Amino acid sequence: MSGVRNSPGALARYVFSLDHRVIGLQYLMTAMGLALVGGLLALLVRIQIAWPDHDFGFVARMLPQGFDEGIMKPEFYAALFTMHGTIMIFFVLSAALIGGFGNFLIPLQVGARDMAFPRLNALSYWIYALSSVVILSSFFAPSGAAASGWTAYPPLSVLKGAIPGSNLGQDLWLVAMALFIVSFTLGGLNFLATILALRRPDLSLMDLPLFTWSMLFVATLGLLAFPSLTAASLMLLLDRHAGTSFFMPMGLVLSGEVVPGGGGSPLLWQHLFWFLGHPEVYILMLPSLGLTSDLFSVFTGRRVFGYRSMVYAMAFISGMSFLVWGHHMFVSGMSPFLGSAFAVTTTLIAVPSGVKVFNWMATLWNRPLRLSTPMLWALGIFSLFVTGGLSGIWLGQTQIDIQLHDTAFVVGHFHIIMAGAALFGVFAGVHYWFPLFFGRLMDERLGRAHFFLTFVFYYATFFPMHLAGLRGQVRRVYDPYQYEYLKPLASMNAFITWAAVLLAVTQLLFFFNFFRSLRAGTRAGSNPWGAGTLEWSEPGPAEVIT
Amino acid sequence: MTIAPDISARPAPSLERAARVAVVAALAATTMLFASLASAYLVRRSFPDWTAPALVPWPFVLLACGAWASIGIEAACRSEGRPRHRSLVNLAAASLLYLGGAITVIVSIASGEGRLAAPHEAFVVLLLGVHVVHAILGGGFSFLALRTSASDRSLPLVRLVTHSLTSLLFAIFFLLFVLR
Repeated sequence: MSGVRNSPGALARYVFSLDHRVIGLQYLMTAMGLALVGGLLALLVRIQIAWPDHDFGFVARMLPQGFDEGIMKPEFYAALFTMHGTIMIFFVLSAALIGGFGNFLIPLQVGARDMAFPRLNALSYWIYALSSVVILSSFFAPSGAAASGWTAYPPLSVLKGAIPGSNLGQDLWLVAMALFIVSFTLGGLNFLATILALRRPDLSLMDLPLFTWSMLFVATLGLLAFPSLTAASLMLLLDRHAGTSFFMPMGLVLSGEVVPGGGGSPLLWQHLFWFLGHPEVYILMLPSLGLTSDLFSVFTGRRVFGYRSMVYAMAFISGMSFLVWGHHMFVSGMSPFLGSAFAVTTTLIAVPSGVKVFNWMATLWNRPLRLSTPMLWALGIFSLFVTGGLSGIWLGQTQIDIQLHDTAFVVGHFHIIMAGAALFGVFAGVHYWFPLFFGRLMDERLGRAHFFLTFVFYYATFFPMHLAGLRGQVRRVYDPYQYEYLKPLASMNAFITWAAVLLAVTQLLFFFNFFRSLRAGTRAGSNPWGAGTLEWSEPGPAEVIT
Repeated sequence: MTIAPDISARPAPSLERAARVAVVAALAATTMLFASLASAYLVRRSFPDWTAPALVPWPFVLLACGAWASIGIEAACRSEGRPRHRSLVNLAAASLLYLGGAITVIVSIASGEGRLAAPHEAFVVLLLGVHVVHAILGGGFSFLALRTSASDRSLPLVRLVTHSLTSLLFAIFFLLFVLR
């Protein structure tokens, strides 16, 4: 290749590289590391829900500030679910799918030499890395990590002394989110510029793989939706430190005393937060959906059915995602007419979703399927998308949502539709593009075992949550069995927790397969899956990495 | 061994197009940020503790600076050689004056005892502060763009950024002081 620099140091090659492939892998590796943290937090949450009086022994000795004689403290439990949600949604799934795959694949799939602005790209990764350090460092804050949920609802998130996590931990959460948004914005600009301006001249937009299309929509969504969280975070910081009253209500009583000041409204935060929050759902899901379409095409050997309608469906979903945020706030006392409007817009999203499902079925119809590991993950995404979508229709209706709001039903729903589809997308992408990343194939037998076990344990973990929710199991409760009516759910919660433990153990298979395949995987040819997209026309794997 | 692709080898028109896309996307994100803040303002002003602001002279000074900056870049785009250089100096002077004035206003409100507890004053600091940050970023971008090539190619982007920031400034002051 002409015009390249030769023999750079290892630091320039692997750490401070401007190469989009290295930056993509940096995102992916960082996200994988953070996934271990986020997963561990989830396990602690699940163990606490199933056995509230459990003696955490070793863990309690490692984190003494969170436990009292081996028993988890309520505020630590709140910090656990807050940090689990934040880390997994933003720092793991968004980063892996968009930062990881997006950076690595977009230039290759559009035929560009690199991202439009390589330095900006590297800066984006390093800001993300810094934000990851900040969010993790909050665990070491004197009074603990943020504990107001990943939604950081005021007034809890405004009041500095409300609970231990309301102090420095909450500030670090806000700073980490601000940094993450800056990183995402820089990345989004680069994605749009690369796809729209650096595309090969003979490649029209309607020739792009659906994964690249999904990245185009995701970048647009991020650029237009994240500013609302930026605005809200700035206002929250001012409320916390400058005595303003954007979100702080008047007459709030804390520990028997009226908190001075106020006059604002916590609902204002909710509107701003969910204006980002719902597009964020699609920011996580669209890459998986785009990848699923591409994988169905590759592993059935035919162009995806209804390509154009798939693009329009993603465009419609992206556009509508800005008009549905109110369905997260049906219980906030909004006008029933407004609630109905949000119910209608939410239900409308089922139309493009139905188009996608139909097209996928038509693509798979009457074709011999090559059930390689990436294809299995794609089928898994298909399954989760349908299952989670169906419960989403329930939650989009005011009458049902008001009953199910803040119950385990909601937790089960979004773990299947959003977290599950995104997580399966990460696995699908890693298995599929591993030859491109490292020049080798991941082990198929281990990959299949990992898929089948994950699929079974994923449903075993999250499907019963719907049933628990229907029976009134509220979410984010430190000890559910303090309520008499929840005591019969103890065995169901124990079952869910065991399934979650097995799900976590199963992931060791993935990590084992990943690291083993780096050295011992079968060497892949230039196009091991027989794909027709442009990234596989590269002569070989990224030479900087091997 | 490849590490960084040689971006200088890429045809210039592609990079220019990429820069244009990136600037438009960045301005869209900025507009959404101000739209979010503006919608919060509109909601907050309907609460009972809201007091209508008094009309003060400083907004007009800042608006004049913004208008001056916009006129400066327009003049630069329509001229060449020394007149263009003079217009760009005008743009820089207007921008620096605006920044100095806006920061003075923010500091004076923020340092006043209890002034931020008044919701309108809080929004003045918030909106103006966010605008100042964007003006600094936009100024930095413009400086870099013009320093690397003060040519017809980079001026349209600087013009777009300058006019957008001026428009946002006018929108902010309409919201804060005109809308009743």
